[in-house]
Amino acid sequence: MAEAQLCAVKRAYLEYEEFANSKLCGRCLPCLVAAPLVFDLLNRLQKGRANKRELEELRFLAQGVVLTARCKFGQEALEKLGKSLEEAALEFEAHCEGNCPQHACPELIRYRIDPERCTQCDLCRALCPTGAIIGDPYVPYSTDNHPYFILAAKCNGCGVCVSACPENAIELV
Amino acid sequence: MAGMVTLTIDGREVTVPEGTTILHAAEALGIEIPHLCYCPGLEGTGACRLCVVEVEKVRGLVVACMRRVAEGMVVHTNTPRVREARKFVLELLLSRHPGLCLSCDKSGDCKLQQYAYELGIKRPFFEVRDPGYEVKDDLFIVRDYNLCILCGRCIRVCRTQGADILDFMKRGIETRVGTPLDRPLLESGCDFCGSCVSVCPTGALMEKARLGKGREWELEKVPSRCSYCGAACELNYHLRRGEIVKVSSPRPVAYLCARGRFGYGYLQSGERLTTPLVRRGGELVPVDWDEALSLVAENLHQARERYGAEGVGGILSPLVSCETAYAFQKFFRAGLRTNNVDCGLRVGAGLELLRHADAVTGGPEGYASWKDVLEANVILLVGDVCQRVPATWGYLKRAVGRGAKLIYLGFYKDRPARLAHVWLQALPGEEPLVLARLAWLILQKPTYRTLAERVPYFASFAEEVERLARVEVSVPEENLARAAELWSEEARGVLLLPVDGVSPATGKAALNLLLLTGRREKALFPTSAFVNAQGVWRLGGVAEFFPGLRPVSEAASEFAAFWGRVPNGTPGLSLTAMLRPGSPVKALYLLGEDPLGSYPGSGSIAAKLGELDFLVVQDLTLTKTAEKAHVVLPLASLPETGGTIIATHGEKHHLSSALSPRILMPWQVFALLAAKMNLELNLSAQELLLNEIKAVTPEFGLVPAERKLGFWELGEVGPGRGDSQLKLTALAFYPSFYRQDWLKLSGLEVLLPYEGNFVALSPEEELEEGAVVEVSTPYGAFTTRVHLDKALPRGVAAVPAFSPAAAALFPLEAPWGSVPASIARA
Repeated sequence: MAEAQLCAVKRAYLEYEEFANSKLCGRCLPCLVAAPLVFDLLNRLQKGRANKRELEELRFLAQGVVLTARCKFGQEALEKLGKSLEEAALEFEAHCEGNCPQHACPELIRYRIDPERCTQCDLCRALCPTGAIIGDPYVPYSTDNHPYFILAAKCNGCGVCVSACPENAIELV
Repeated sequence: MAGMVTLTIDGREVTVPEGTTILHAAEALGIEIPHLCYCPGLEGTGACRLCVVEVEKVRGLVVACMRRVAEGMVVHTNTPRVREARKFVLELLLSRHPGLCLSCDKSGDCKLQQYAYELGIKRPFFEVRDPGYEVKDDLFIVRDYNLCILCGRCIRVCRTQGADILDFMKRGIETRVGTPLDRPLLESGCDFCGSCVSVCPTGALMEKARLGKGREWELEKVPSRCSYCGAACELNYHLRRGEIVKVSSPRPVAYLCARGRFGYGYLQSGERLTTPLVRRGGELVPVDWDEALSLVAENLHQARERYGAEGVGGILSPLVSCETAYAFQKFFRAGLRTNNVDCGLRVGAGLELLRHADAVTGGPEGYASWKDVLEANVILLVGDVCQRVPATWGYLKRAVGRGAKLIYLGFYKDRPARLAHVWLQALPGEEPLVLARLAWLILQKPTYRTLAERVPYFASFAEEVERLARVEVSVPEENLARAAELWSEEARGVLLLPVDGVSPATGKAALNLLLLTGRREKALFPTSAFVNAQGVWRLGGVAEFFPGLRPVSEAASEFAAFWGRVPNGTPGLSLTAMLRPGSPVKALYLLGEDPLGSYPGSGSIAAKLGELDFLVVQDLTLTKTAEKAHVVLPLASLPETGGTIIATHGEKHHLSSALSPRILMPWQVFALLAAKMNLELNLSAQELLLNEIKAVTPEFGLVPAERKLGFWELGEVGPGRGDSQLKLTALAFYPSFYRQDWLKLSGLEVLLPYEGNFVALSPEEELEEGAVVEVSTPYGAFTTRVHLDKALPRGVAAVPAFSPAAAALFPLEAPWGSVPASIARA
């Protein structure tokens, strides 16, 4: 579910990566030096670790390379990036605040277990690859078993628990 | 006007030749367009995008270093869009430039720093990321690719005039500059010409010796000339508190070899002599100048009295200035009234060939210049010029890059052989035969025969060529035919001839080729290993000529008027005659010469030095010969004395004193000696000497000599093919130099295998690398190591020219060509 969707940031990243792996030659300076910067900034955005200022840096890069790069491949790659920066400005800004509106960036996804629907079957906790889910399995008539809960700091947003839950009790925040 | 284009730059009109770049057109108007990857003297690549400008009616920005001008073009070099683009490029570069200008040695000379200042970048916009490359600590050069901005200048200069070992490695964001397989420079075949360091706009490439010794603005830049070989390349010494910190070329791409750029250590070595030494009880002890000079004056005077004019002699180095040489010969000719004055140019055929060269070209005016080499259509390269005079390599490579055809005559498969269109691999001793064969092939063409028939001595020449052309040589016939075709058919031809490095027969045969094809002026480029060979021999530094090339017998009375003393009218002994055991010379003065270290025939020279009553050596350091002397005097080097020098290709230069010596200038020494002998010689100041030279010899003896034109007879030439005896030859291995001790003191001997003490053999011989062997020739034996060299043909062994091995194994009278040798394990 999470892999199927693309947000503007992820799309921009993939497009740029394709350019970097095929056309980027390194024989003129702007592309060559801008590439690691672009990758770095887009990565940070996807992880919610970028701020507004870094978004500015990205805009500056896009404009500058379009102005100075030698070939049309280099110019077009950054022109595309510039266009998505403009068209999806809100989405990019949301990433700066740590939200991915499309819920496509795994690092920015937050899940929550609805205690009303949870039957404490323990399936999600057993499957979680990062051990982010805590809670006690259901014991009839016991009163002190803890409800299931996702630790946001450990969760990597992989979505295994969501697809595994028989009760559809795990939802996106 | 045809071929001219008018365009407007920043509102001002300019007319420039067609094909000019916008950058150059702007320069003509005094408008400077910032550039990083473009370097004057190299082709532009348009990589850095810093020189972008706006051109009306052109969408997007254009690169000024690449775009050629067009009629009616309207260019704006300083619009907001252009400034924005430039700022962007600089921001990008700064984002991967982790250097700290505060402590960078390049600070003050760094292009990146300059442009960041000009564009007003106070703080980098992007966070600075360190590429984290390892700093490569190479010989003479430190390469810190973290500071590299990938402009590619070093790569292009290496390709244009260097060893062509640098290139971009990897691709895309991992691109960086490197050597093949990323090995150290020495292993990659680097020449250490330092051109890359010279063109690097940032601190990525720097001279190792300068690190930590001062920033650019703390250094005092003194223009001078290289005092190694006859090319006398222009250079600048950068001094801090009187100490040389680095050497730079006048223009970034101007070629300097490893000797010029990194070999200044001998000038400020701790081994330099500072006080005179006198032999007392078998030991050399330091004394003051007065005492040493009294001793010298007394002994020279005594020898002159007792043995006559023949009993005293002086040998001077062709590495001193004209003024020093003039003062020296005047001291001997006028003061001691002997004509036993000679210089190191006598060793080899240099003197003879320079005289013949004058006859062909009508004096140095008619020599080819570097420009003629660059613009030649065909170049004939004889022997190991590129190792003896490395600057020729830089120019040769450029000339071939511009379309010149290169004919290389030599047995050593060095770089010229790979660059050459025709490589005539004549074995040692075969060179005159191959040249004669070329002459014969050219004579088969009726046009050239008719032309040549007008040159005097044609009949005997044709006969000799006919005879020599029949001797079989090891060069394939088609190569000879192709070379003859190129040499006779191409328009502008230049002969690069190492006058002191070939046999007289080879030299004369090569000059005959010039005469044969009617190339008399601007076609001969003579080279030698001596910075002032031309000046010294033209100013009386050789036994048979007074200053201005006046023959001794005619000139003695003439010079009596100038000098106020009647000189001796009988010709003096040459250097070879003076150093022959049993010669009448009993007191010898050596100025800057080290016969035991750099002359061939060291065995017989040592014997002769033992016979002397009195030996004075004046030199930079305590040389092998100086150790045997009775009095040793310190000598001021050429950069210290300054003065006039004449490069072997005929250019005259006046040098100012670049370094301050702490010792007496050579002419002051002669003046003091003259005073002690009660002689009036007027030697006390450089200006006096210069004025006197000007009065005595118009134009330093560079005036067109009388043209005694005519083909030369080659005389005895070696056998052709079919000789199975191992041939030993003295070959210059880069950066071999006449004074090997200078290389040692400068730390350059590491560029030679086994520090220059080896005998090179073809790998086909049955000996292994590093084996200790004894080489013996009819003239001596020498124990050394084997160095296997793929560039040598089978049956030929080579020892470095001017090395102790060459000194021991060759005769003083004929150090060229080859001698039969045998090699056995020691």
